[in-house]
Amino acid sequence: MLVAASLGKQGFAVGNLAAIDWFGFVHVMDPLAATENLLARRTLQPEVLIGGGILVLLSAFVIGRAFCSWICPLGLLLDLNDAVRRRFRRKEKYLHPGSPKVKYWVLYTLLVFTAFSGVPVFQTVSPIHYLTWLALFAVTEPAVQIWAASMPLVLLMALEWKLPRFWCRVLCPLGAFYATVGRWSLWKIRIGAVSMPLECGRCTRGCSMGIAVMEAQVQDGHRAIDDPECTRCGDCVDVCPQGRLGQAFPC
Amino acid sequence: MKEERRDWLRIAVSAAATTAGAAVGGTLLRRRSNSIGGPLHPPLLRPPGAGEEQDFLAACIRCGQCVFACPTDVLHLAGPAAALSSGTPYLLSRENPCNLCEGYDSLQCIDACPTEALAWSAEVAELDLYDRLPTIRMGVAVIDTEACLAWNEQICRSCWHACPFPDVAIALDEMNRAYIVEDACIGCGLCDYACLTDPSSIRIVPKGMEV
Repeated sequence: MLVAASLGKQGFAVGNLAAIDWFGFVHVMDPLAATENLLARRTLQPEVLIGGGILVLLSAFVIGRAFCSWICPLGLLLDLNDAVRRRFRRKEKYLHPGSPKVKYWVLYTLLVFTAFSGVPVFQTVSPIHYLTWLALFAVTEPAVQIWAASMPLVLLMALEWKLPRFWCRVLCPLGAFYATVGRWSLWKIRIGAVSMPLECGRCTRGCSMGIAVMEAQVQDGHRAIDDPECTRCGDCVDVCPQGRLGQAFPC
Repeated sequence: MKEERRDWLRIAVSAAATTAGAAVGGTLLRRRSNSIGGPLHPPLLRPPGAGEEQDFLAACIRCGQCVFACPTDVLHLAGPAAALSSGTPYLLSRENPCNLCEGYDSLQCIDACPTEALAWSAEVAELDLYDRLPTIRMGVAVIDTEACLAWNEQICRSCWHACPFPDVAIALDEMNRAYIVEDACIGCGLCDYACLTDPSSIRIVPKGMEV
């Protein structure tokens, strides 16, 4: 959110989420955008290697898949939507149809498609980019463009009402990329031991990514949540009545 | 064990099918991206330093840093309806032309580009800025001699005055009528902006769209 807000002409971060120029000398690049760039033009620019490499290393060793819950503006939009949803239907449980594995296929297809077409496909059709485009560049553009950018987002928000985080959990290839890279990062959700474990299952119900936190993680005796879907959002930490879960770095 | 093997087989078959499908789709799309025009690939006037259109589409990661870097706010970032060009920079010369960063010692969009989608070609990169500027090719100006004042027996040379390379890119004939020297025109659009008629009698044809 902070990142998204500080982007702009006069900000200390110039660009959008595809590539940001921090303070005029640190260039970071969305690793998926960098990969697509490499595949589409079939040459490796040193700037692209460094810019994308920074985030790959950061994700692999430090923050894992935290991009999805802490930086991605589309995640924020869907989360806000979810807050409204919960206000109206307090008791309803999350529904999680669809396999999270689908997004790895989406990622793979996009990369092959990019390599053959010479067009960085996800950079062109990503709803994340539509959202940043609407926020940063849409003012001077014709109405048809603004409609074209808004409709997929409205669709995703409508989908959110019935199937929370369907995009993030099942479809998003950027999430798949970070999930692959960030699986073994230092920042994780720690599972602490308590003397009288209470098996209430609020963490499982509270997980927007559909991880069976209690059944597959806590009861399995993991010391930290070990699931590629975990975005380190901390929702399970907030709902745990016995403080058994916690944000931990290093884990 | 046997079931596990069957799972692997299924994954392998799916992977092969996906690869084949994406490869065919991608190849078809490459053909479309090679030919400019039509709703899938509308012709856009690119900022200076962009290479051939299909190379530019491949190299640009749609980050918009050139748009932010432009000192005269000339550049726009295309929206999703631009299909293949979604998220790429373009400019509208009639509304706001590229003045080639007058007063700066380099072109800000080229400096800002993180992937060198906008870049000087290797042959000219070492030259002085004023020797590099004439090598830019954004497009080429075309005069509509039906509508142009000077070609219709009135006195006007607004485009010639606006041109950064007067007598080189826009020259005047013995009747003081402007004409374009296509090899020298860089397509900045300053003439389009300056034209007194409405609509403009001198338009920029983007690179790759020349007749």
